[in-house]
Amino acid sequence: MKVLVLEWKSMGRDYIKKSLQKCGCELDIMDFPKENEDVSLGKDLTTRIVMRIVEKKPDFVFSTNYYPVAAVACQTCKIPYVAWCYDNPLINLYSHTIFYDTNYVFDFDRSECEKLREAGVKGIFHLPLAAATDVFDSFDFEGLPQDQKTRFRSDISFVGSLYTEKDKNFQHFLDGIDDYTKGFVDALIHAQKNVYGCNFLESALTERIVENLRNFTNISARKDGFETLAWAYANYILTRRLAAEERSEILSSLSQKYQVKFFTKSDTGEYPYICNLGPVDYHQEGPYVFKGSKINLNITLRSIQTGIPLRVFDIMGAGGFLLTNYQEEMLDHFVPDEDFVYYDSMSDLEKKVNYYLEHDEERTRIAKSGYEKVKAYHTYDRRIRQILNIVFGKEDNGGIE
Amino acid sequence: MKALFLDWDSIGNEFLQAAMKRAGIEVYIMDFVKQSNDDTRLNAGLAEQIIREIAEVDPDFLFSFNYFPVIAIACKACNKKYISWTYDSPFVQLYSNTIFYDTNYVFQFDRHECENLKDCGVKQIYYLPMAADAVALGKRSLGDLSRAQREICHCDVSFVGSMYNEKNKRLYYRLEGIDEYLQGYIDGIISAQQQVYGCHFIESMLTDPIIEKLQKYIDLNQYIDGFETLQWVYANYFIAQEVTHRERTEVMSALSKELGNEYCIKLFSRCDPLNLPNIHEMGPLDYYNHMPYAFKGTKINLNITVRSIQTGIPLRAFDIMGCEGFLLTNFQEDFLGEFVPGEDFVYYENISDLIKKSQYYLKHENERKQIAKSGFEKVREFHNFDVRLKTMLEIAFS
Repeated sequence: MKVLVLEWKSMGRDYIKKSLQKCGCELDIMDFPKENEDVSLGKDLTTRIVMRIVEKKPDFVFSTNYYPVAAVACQTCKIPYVAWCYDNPLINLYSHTIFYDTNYVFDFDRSECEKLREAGVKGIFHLPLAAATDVFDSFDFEGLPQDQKTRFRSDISFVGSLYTEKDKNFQHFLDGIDDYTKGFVDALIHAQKNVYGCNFLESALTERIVENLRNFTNISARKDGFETLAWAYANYILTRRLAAEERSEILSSLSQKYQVKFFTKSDTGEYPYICNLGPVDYHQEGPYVFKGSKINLNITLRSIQTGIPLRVFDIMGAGGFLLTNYQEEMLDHFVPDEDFVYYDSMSDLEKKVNYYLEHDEERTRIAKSGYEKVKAYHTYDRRIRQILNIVFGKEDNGGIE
Repeated sequence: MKALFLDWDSIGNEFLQAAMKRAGIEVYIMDFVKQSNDDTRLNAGLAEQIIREIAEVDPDFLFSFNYFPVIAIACKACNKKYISWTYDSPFVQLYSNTIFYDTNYVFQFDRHECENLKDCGVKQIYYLPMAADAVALGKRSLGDLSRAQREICHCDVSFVGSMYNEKNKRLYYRLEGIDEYLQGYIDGIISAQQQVYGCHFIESMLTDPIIEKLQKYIDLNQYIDGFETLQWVYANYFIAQEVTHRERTEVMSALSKELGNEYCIKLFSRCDPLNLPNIHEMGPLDYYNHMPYAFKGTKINLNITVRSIQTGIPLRAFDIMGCEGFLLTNFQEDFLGEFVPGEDFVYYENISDLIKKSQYYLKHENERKQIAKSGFEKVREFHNFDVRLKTMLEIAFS
């Protein structure tokens, strides 16, 4: 089978390509210029994809995340477009092209899938993310030079963003907005911060607040989209501000009692307690961080309502001990306190950090059990087989649950 | 055994008094007429009257619905047991220092409030859900009514209760004039809490700086004998009430819009008119004489709990089930300890769920009747006033 892969610098792209090949796919790689071209309805780009399809005659087109240009090209050529989404929020999912019957869109967040299904999207499927355990197995922490070992070894670590970067600077995004809106948004964020498993950032936005935000920000409805403004404000602005507050609070507070290493591109200047080790190369260095930490934190961005973020699979797949916020879909695949541990409040988090730092054996046992489960059920090979099954209806179901 | 029953215009008086008589208790009734602004806390004159009555009757215990510090003081002075059973919420008098007296046996229908007071150090407080006299209510029949009266009671969906939209009742109006940020913050809390059942965060969101700001405008005073926090008062009296007001109003407009064209929807309330196109606003009902018939005549009886009741089962729910009415309620945790959802009652998680379930049960009469019957039987057997009285006496006299 031939597949046209639209490639950009997405996480896990090499693992996906390898798994596609293992499943007998012949790959034609096309660089996908998502940074500097219009990927929503760019005619040039669509034409180039169509030309490539006509020339190479693939059986389907594949990309990580979903791009309307690719959907249009595939619809034109009447071949399946397979998109596997790991980013969230992903506004392109709310493009009208999502309804095309040539689409096979796989998304890791079940509640997102259900929402789109309810909106009438037929070609959307729920598929959790995966980990490349075989690749991680070859990362030998003990074999690292001493200075690297020291850098990656920690009691507690977190790899991620504080969303303080200039282009993502949503912390100060609302500076200067009217006092009423400011008060409303503050209250909403404080309320949501303390509640897991029930997301109300979007539904609690009143008409008055949406109107105020519309007047203040330059985010407005897109030509091609059917997303609501409340959805965009809640998921792009409020979740990031919440993440900034939540993550800085957790890291600052834990740092006062424990050794916490924060691997990030973000500026943490405002938070004197946080020990910022700068960015890590996610593919080359990430596994060492996960292996070298006694406790790996996962603090999910709240736009992901029920799904399991990639970080979780990478931590568990590398054999690291995972302490995560409560996230519904974790319970579908893993057993809490056996494969991983979750917290549901700040005080619960502190209690559990304290406990698991003192109980080495239990921690190691949980990490190992989580790793075994990921290795058995959540590899890229398995996911690609699941995808091909759904698209081409193969007999061997690849273990779809 | 002799009981001195402090009788104010409370719901349930006659049911509990009847239960006491059935249990062989001599019931002496003392009028405890309280106007809304009567002092029932550190009122020496009233305490003396109660003490004189105690001296005359020499009862084994005193009883009142809801808890009143003045009764606790009299009982403490005479070393008599004071049994109280609170069903109103919020009820600030529970947070009087008199609650710590060892002569008190405080029964409280909301498990969360009960736990909260236990955490404050109150030892003799016990969770006790409300009840209904299903036997008495079962004897009422729509056939007792004239055709015109029956007409009033018949409908597809109804709600009995306040909308909290009257200007003099709605405490939120007292917040008028607070600064814009604070207004936004309060509205943000309200809007967030409206989306969530089973998890209450209003009080925890009222941080000290927010309370300080609110106090500049409203300046609430604490009672001399009170240990309630300002957070508790603002959360439960001001904000929870406003959440309830908005929620009930939204439920009514959703019903009007989604079901009103097809079905008959009635609101029995003393509140100001809502003026919704498809809601029949019927005015208030007399609790004893009319309400049971309304529950019997309605296919789907709604319960939309006041948000200061965090986990408890409101009295309305027991009354509905005790009348063999079909109950559709918002999610309240304490239900799960006493009843089985989908078997004895049905709960909804949000307004669209309420609409969906109303439509379903309007179309499935047998299922609806089966659930109402099962709820009724459970109330008759396990949640009657005899059972409750027994529980209270066992605890107070063990």
